[in-house]
Amino acid sequence: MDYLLDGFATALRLLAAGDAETFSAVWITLAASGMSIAACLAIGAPLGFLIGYHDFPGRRAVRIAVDTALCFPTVVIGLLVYLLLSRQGPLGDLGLLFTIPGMAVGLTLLGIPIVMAMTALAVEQADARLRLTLLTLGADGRQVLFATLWETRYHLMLAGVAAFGRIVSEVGISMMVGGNIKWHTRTITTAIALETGKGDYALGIALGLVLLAIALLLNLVLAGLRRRAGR
Amino acid sequence: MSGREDNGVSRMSPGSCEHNIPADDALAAGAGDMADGAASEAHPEEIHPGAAHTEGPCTGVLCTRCHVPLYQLEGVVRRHGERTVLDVPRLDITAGGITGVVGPNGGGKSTLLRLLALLDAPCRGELHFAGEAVGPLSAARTAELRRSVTLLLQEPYLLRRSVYENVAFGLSMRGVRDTADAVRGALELVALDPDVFLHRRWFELSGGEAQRVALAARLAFSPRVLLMDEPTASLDEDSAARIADAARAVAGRGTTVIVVSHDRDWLEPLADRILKVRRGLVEG
Repeated sequence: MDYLLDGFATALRLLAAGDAETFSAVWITLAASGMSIAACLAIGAPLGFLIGYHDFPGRRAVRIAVDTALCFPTVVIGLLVYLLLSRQGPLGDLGLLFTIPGMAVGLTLLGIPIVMAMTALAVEQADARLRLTLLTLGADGRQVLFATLWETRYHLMLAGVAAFGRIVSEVGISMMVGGNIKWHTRTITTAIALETGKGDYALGIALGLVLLAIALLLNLVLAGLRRRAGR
Repeated sequence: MSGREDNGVSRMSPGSCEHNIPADDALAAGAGDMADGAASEAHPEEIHPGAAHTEGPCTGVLCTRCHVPLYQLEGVVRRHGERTVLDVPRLDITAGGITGVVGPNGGGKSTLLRLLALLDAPCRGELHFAGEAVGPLSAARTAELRRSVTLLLQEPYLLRRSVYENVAFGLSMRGVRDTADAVRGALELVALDPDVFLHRRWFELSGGEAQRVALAARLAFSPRVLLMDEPTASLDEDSAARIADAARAVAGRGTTVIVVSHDRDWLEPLADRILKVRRGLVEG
């Protein structure tokens, strides 16, 4: 029990002292997750809107594929992106392997299905009177589209926050595509895995506390958005 | 845009009407006059050639005595699947005034309103609005025509915005930038004090206030036709009276008002004409 309490006390000291290694992992995590969530929203939200709003042949199959992608193991995505970005891979010339942007590519593949599925659901579940109201107020097709997107904005933000939560806490993609290189691609989760393996619990606990703080913050944001969306 | 029926709106089905009325049709010309707000000044012969007036000055397309229809329905049939929900051999609705529509539940009143709101097209027959057969029109032209018609739903939906933004929405859809005066005017028409309500959010309104805000949102852009589906169904007497006052006021300004209601005590003193819709057939 003592080693746990000691680890906890040392972790607090590391955080209070602004330990460079700890904050490097935090910064790298936020940078890769930030790039990734921006790409997820830019790509996933329009695609989600498309499958939630329009009837087209194969729509049901697309929904099933997106829902299946929600359960994709992160190590499989990591392996796929590793093969794509490795020197022999089709995107090897980009030199993204073991870089933060390379990690962001993998994390984006993880987050897109979440944003797509939640956006599609939000659009599908929008009040049936909304479209009728917009038409009877004189909106044309394009105006109906944008107004509907605006009316479901809290649900869209909810999708973004949920995807961010998944991205920031995953380990498989970051480990395989980033390579867990100290000061360069070591994230909170890969550092925790490494330091725990080495028996250095203090750094692991410190980073774990940061991750919990991020999770708490995200949940507070989620709760606020849910309250606003529910009105 | 989707044509999904389950979302409450179906696309106009092309080909349901066979002919168009020429663009220089007298009624179409009258429609243009009205859009410019000049209808009340127009001479009858310019708008309805050959129309006879027995007494008083003509008020152009708003003249209820001209009997030149704003809507013409001929052999209109609307089906849901195999079931015929509306069958109108012939119906003309003249521009101006207040038309009441009564009938039992499931009789076809709301279906009629949706046709008149240009949200649905007839499965068979011809529907003319202001001289244009709406069936064969392009989606863009249908959307353009639909901008002169508005429908107040029985359970109105307010956008997740302030009262001001709700009432200004229709104007902004029409490219109007300076909306402040029109919004205040529309709120006053429905007896809501703009200073009190302008900045309230949608969830801060009672049912009656929400209904009146929804009505104000439709009055703000001065529609040619105001359709109302059971506007007083869940309102107290005072709110119902305010809705009636607003309907009279806009009818007085030239808007054609068509109201579906079960409340005959409320409707009969209000309407100039009553249509009965029973088992999909229109009488009256």
